[in-house]
Amino acid sequence: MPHKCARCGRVYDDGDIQILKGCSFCGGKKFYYIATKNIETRDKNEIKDLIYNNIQSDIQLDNLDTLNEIERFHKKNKKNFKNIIDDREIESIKVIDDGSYQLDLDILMRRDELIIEKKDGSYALHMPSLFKYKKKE
Amino acid sequence: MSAWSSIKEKFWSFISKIFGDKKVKIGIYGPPNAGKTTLANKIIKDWTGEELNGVSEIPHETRRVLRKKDISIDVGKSSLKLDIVDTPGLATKLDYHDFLKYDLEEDEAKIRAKEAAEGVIEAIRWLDDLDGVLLVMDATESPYTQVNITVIGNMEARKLPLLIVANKIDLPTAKPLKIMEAFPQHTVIPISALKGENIETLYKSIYDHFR
Repeated sequence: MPHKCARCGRVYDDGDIQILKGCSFCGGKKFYYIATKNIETRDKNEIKDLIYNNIQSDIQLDNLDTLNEIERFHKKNKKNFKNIIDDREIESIKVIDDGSYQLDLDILMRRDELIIEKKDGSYALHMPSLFKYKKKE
Repeated sequence: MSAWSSIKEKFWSFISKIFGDKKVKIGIYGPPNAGKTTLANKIIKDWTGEELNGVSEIPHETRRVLRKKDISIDVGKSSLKLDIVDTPGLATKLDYHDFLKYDLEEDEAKIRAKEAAEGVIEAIRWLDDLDGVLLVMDATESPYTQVNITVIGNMEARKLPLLIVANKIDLPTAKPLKIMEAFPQHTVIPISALKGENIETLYKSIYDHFR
């Protein structure tokens, strides 16, 4: 995947040794990927695949030769994958103690509903937030 | 709202639509103590002469969303009408112990932490109702924080126009270039909201970006 210098915008090919040394033009040391849509989709699949491999170690990444095979594998395990993600992301607010809170900004921004984990480990669902939120003018 | 003012507002919004005088609702977001309220006050003072809210060195001074309507900013011969929404600081951890060092009593600090947590949720709820966001960062701090990266990622997913403000450039340790390097896909405007440095560039960028 090609890299672009964050400071001057010069583009380097994937694996260019100059990326490690810093930009030859401006000396910048930060680069970001330039990804086409196809590359991004393929990468996502690869990341998913790595997660699956961690879950089910009997299937190795090397054994999957083509993207079609990866896709077929995803379809088969779709349900399994969804459950794992859902189990990991539950509470948006965690009450650690009186006056100490931990907020998951990502979940708060993506979901309307508030799920609070109390300090005893129990969960509270904030009912009004489970219904469509409508701001009054 | 009385019936008369409601009719008046509808009439003016109708007139605005006909003559193309567009109004945009801009939210000021960012981590605590980045200077969000100082910037909101500066914008409002420059264009209306008023002030919106108090500022303090104690984090989470703004714990409710505050809104100032109908601020008209002039850039050259054109103008843009804004509603400015100042929001509480976004944070992932709110611990009352952090407030005790500012000479707050324990009870007071616990209430502050609770209100600040509610403030974060209120600020996030407002995102659905905005046309654009000014994301204020403290240029003396590292921009690679969970808050900055999460907020930018979410704004990009929402396709909400975003302008990054690198604040506090009047301080000798400020490094606005670091913010530019961290988020090269966005426009970054270095300013000092307190001293008013480069504020004209910000007004021009607001006009170009959110029009």
